[in-house]
Order: sequence, then C-alpha cells, then structure tokens
Amino acid sequence: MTAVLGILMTSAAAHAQQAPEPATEDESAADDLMEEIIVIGGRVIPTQKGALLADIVKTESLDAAEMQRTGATNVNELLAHRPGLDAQVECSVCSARSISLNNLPGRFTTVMVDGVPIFSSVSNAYGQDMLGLTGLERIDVSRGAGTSLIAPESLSGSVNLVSKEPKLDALEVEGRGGSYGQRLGSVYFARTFGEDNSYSLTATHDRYDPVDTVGLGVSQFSGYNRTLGGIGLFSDDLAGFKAKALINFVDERRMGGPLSDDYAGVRADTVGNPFNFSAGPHGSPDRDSWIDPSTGLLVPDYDGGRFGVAQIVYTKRQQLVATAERRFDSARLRLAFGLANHEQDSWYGLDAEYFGKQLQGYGEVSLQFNAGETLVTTGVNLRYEDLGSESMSLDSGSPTFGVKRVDADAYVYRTPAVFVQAYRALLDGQLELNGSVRYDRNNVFGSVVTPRANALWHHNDATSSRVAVGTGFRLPTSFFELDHAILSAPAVDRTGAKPEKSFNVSYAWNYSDDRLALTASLNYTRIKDMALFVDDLANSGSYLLQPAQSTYTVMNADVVGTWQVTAADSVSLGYERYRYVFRSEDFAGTLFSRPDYRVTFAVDHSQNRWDIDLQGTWTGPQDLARFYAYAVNPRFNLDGSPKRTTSKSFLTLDLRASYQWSATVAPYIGVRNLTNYTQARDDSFLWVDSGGRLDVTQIWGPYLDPTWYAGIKVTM
Amino acid sequence: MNRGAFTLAVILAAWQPAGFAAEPQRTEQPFASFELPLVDGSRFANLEEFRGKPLVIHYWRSDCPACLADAGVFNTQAIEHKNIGFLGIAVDDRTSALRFLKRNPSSHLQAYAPLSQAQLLHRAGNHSSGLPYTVLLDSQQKMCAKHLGKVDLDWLEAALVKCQK
Repeated sequence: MTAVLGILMTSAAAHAQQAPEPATEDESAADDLMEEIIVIGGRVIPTQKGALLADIVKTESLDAAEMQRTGATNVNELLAHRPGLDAQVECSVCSARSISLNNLPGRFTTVMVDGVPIFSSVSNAYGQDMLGLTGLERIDVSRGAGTSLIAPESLSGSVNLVSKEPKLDALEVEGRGGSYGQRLGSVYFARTFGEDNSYSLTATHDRYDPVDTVGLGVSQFSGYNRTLGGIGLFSDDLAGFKAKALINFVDERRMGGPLSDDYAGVRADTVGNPFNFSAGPHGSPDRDSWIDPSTGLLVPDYDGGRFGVAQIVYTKRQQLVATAERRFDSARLRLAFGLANHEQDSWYGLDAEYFGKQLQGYGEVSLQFNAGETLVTTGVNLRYEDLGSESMSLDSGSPTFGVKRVDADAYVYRTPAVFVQAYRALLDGQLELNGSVRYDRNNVFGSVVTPRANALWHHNDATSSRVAVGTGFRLPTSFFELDHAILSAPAVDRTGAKPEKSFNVSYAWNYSDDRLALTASLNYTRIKDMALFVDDLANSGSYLLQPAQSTYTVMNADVVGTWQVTAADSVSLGYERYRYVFRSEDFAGTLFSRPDYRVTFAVDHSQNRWDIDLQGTWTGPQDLARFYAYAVNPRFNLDGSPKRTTSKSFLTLDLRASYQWSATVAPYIGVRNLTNYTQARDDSFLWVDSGGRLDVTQIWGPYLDPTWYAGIKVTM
Repeated sequence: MNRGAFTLAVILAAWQPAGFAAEPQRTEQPFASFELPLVDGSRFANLEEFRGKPLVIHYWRSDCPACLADAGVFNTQAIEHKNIGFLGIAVDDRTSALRFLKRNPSSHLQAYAPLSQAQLLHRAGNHSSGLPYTVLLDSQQKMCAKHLGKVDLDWLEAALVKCQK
C-alpha cells in the first residue's frame, strides 16, 4: 500500500526538478501507479518533447558527470569557458566572480536554488563563489530573458541549482590538496527513513592562498578560507505534498592584495611599502611609487602598508529554501519559500569600510491545470529584499572621510507579482507553444509587465528548433560594488533610477542521437536603462544612480558538438562569436571586457577504471579600450605608458585523470592552465588613471599559472 | 481503510495500467536501433548483435532503488535463459554506472548512454523518462512487451514465453 502511495508522489518529482515530461501518453498514467520510479534529469536535452512545459526552459544542463569531468569545486568554476557561459572576474584583489550568460554582465544572471530566486546584489557579488557542488544533482542553465517564468529579474538568463534528493543511503567523502595551499574536504551523507522520507547532510571546507605570479607582492587572485554546510529534508508524502527543504550555511573569509592570511596583522599594517611596484610588465621605474601620467613624475612613495591595497571580506550567510508540490487529478499545486540572511563585513584598504546585511525573502503559490487542450500555469509570488549597511570612507581626500553612514547603498524592495503561462502542444506534439506574462509591482519603481513566448518544433525524434522572444527586468540596486566611490560621496541620489529592461530573441537548433549531440544558437539581447552610478559631485554634490544614456546590445552565435568517437573516447568542440553594440562613453568603463570569440574543446577517454579529460579554451582578443572606455577614462601602466588597447588571444588547457580503484575509492590528479599563460605577465591587473590614482580592475585573462591538485573520492 | 488504500482502490477500479498488464504488449514496428558504449569502454553495443533471438533490455540508473532490486532478477534470468539476449543500459554517467556494477556484478552486457538519455528512452517507447524500464524484443526485433517500474518476476517470465513464440 505504501508503495502505491509512493508512486503518487513520483511524477511530481519531475516538476520539482523543473524537467517534466508531457503527460500525453499512456505511460504517464502508468507513472502514477509505479513504485519508486525515478525520472531522469539528464544532459543535452534542452529541447526534448515537453521542454516548454517547465517553469524554467533550460538551454543547457550540467550533471554529475560534467561536475566530475571538470574537477570544479564550485558553480563558477563549473560554468566557466563554455559556449554562452562563463565566470566573470570583477576584481583582481577580491576575486569576486559571477556567472555571465551570453557575455552579459554577471549581475544580470538570476541564481536559483530548486527554482527559488534567492540571490541579489550583495550575495551576487561574493555569494556565487560560495555555491558548492556537494549535494547537487545538476545545474540547469536558461539563457535569454524569454526563458524563465519565475525568475523575472534575469536580464540575461537564469542558473538553477537542483538539489539531489536521496533515494538510497549514501556517503561520499572527498579530500583534495594542491598548489597555492589548496585544501578541499567535502562530505555528503544521505539516509532514507520511513517509507517516503530522506535527509542529507553536506559539509565542505575549501581554502586557497593568494596568488601573485610576477613578484609585485599584490595578489591577482585572493586567498580564501570557506566553510559550507547544508541540511536537506525530503518527503514524498508530507500531508499529501512532495516536499523538500534545504538549509545552507556559509562562513567565508577572503583577502586579496597582500600575500597573507594574517587578517588581523594586515589590518594593523598601515604604513610603509611592502610591495614592489617595479615588478611585472610596464612596472614603475621605482619600487615604492608609480608614474603620474599627467606629470610624467613619480607620485609620492606608497605608504599605506599591506592594508593599503587589501580587500578583506568576511561573509556569513544562512539560507532556507523549501518547496512543496501536490497533484490533484491533472492539476499541480506548487508552494515555494525562500529566506536568506547575508552579512558582509569588509575592509577595502584605504578606500572604505563596509558592513552590509541583506535580508531576502521569496514566497510563491502557483497552480498548473488543464483548460481544454491548454495547460495553464498561474500564480503569485512576493519578493522581498532589504539591504542595510554601515560604511565609512577611509579616503582622506573625501568630504566624508571618517564619517559613518547608514544610507550609502541601502534599499528596501517589496515586489508582489502575478504570472500566467499557457502551454499547448499541436500537430501531435510536433509543435509546442508557450506564452507567458508577468505583472510585477515594486514599492519603489511601480509596475512592470514582462511578456514572453516560446515555440519548439520537433523536426523528428533527434532534431528540434526553438525560438524564444521575451523581455526581462531587474530592479536596479544601489549596492556599492558597482562603484566603491559612492561610499566616499556625501550622498547618493536614486530618484532618477529606472528598472533595467532586456529584450531577447533567440533561436536554437538541436540534434542529438546516441553518439552525437549538436547545438547551435543565435541570440540577440538588448539592455535598456542599465543602471549606472554617475559622479555628479561637481554639480549636485551627489552620486546619481540613473539609467545609461543608450542601450547595450550583445549578439552572439554559438555552436557546440560532442561526438562519441569510440566506445572509450569522445570529443567536444565549441565556437562562439560575439558582436557588441554600445556607445563606450555612455558606460564609462563599468562594463567588463569580453572576447570577440572563443573556441572550446574537450577530449575524454573513459575505459575500464580510467577517466582522462583534457579541456581547452582559445580566447580571442578583447577590445579593452572600448569596454573600459579609455576615451573618457584613459588607463595607464605603472610606468606611465598607456594600457594596451586590445588583449592578446590565449590558450588554456586543463587536464584531469581519475582511477576507480574499487567500488568505493577513486583517486584523481589534475592540472589547470597547463599552457601557463597568465594575464599578469603581459598586462598588470593594476592600472593608473590620468590623475595618478591606482586601481585594480584591468581584467581580461587568466589569473593563475599551472595549478596542480590531487585528491581522493570515497563513495559508499 | 486509510487514505492511501482508498486511493489505490479507486485508481485500480477505474483503470488497469499498461505497465501492470498481465498480457504483454506487442508492436509490429521494428525496435529503434541504437549504438551505445559498454560501461567498460571496450566497444559499442548495438541491436544487430542480438539479431535472431529474443532480447531483454533493461534501462537503469545507479541511484534508483528499484533498479538495484531488479539487477539480481536480470542476472539470474540471463544465466537461466541462454537462448535469450540480455542487455542492461545505464541511463547514467559512466562513473556512477561503473561503481554500481562493481558492487553488483552483472551476468550480461552493460552499456550506458553518454548523450541523449531522454531521447533514448523516448525511442524505446518510454515517454515519461521514468526508470527502471524494461522492454522485450522478439527474434524479429519487434517489441513484444514493455514495463515501467520494478520488474515482477511473473510478468517477466510470461513475457519471455510470449516473446519466444
């Protein structure tokens, strides 16, 4: 009897994982009467039949095999260097990284956990590095503003982390060590109990030393010490609901700038010069200072000690995500809830101190039901976000030097919304259509309506085409990471800000059989009213948060294929080409440079106990002068020469080998950036503005030289 | 009667699902061909090598409790029925499948689906992507029975008899 109760829950599992299949065949009814059936998530299935039924129409899906193949330790590393996906580094000495989709800014990507959007501003800046892979079943990526019903603030798309629901008792333990003090330990423990319930416990500790490859003494990659924990509770029958709840904890300390993990010592070290500014390409003629381009003379000797260029960030985060689904005949009720408390205590050398506390909440009730031949999903949700902060400028030249402020970037957003989506399959399922519209009403920015439409045509069982047209919006946040200078401004005027809006059209063609998978896509994304901070101190005495004067458009084409050449060997090849349309001066260097094209390839050999994987990326040139707006804000090297206007093309190779010693034990070894190309040997991450002030955001290339690691994974 | 029992009674009274049917299904269309690497990477497995005799294909995954229970059934049946082909297809990543097979050694060939997992199941007549899933082909390689969920030994033996006719 309980077996039959279990079956009634299993088909809901598909919906919980956002990958349902259409209930059009007799087996869907059989599903509902089968015991302990699991429904695969799978990979390379973005356009299988029923794909448009999902709340989040995925364009890529990365599963456990992919996580293992790359040797990635977090979501950013996993998604880096894939056609249409990348991890964008936004600061060399703090190593903040975010997930970039279609080469659009990382803050325009909505990160979700089991379909619950629970990351924004503060948590997007450093939180995305803290998304561990332990306890994940897969990661679904949805590129384009027209692909997500429940993640409206995804101007470029969304990334959904799907948690692993235990069906069997399990214990996985992994230990890893490597160069630059890498230490990684992770544990995943899962146990089933009762007839329909299970729980999981996850813990990860990860550390890294700061990295400097040119002898400057200033890091180009931050050191960190990170601890992650999680508890998952799962039930197939909780008062008739299939329910899951995930509680996650993050505790991280990171420091970039000085090559040290002595946080207290660095904070106390505020005089003298421990660095060598003459090291590296176009280094200064003097180790203690650099050239002021406006005079051609050396600026006064640096005297800020190790703390002067340090960026120290402490992060604590507690997060709860819960979802519950229940079927009533052909209808499905979904409840979702999220709550996160994110605290960031940070010290930015002689720039500013910042202590932020962000509370974020999400609630959703939605119902899916049949209305004749049409499947309708409708619901309401409420997003709540409260950022409170205390900050103090440490810039002695600032009018607010030493003044404690509580309003530099604080905001409170409450955004209730109603949404409806209609799905219909025509021509015996050969054509699928879906259309949706959201109405969001924010307490600051008022109403926003965002329609979306998708069409999916199945040429045959192996080939399909999908067209998506849609809009997205994002409430502009005044979070200071967009421009640290606001912490030194007397005031920030947000009255001119508007919701950022994107318009996206995309076409994807997919072919897939047992040995070959091909995907080609074309994307057009235009972002209007991109929020920027504008220095208006000379006129109003404030920084202004306001929309950009013009639009930012990215057009890209990409193609990727995987061929199973032999039973043991497969190769993958990808190519992506980008065209950026924007007026450089209107964005004043707030964009990060992105390449014109990339070629990615992978070779995988899997035979008997061995798995050997080689992955490579050839990154084309980047128009640094345009992205960093040299025309309005020229950048110089420490020797006073102009920064290079175009980046070099470069190749990176990663290699990993693992050996399945027994049913439980698998040692592995790997190396990243085998080709030993780092940006710092060609172009320092440091740059000087026309007034002789030092900055740290000349970023376009790899930051690590060859990095070895070895570990062992025990699976029971 | 508790709520679960009542639900079952209502459903069973209203409908006899195909997967539980005592009489296996038979189709006239040839089964969709496939070419999948063996889990050990030594070669591809395809339909051609089983031509001329009935074939049992069971699709499974390492984290599926019912698949674990089924493994013993298929191992035993493959040993008992030398005149029938047996092929396991892991709808899983290779490493997980390899670990599973080291714990649960198989008496017959085991392949896996590195790509297009949902399409593979779809072509095999499984449109819900559910596992475990079993199909039986006759000597003409036409599907004569299919079953979604844990295999019932009585059903399997009845299907084997029918598919050898």
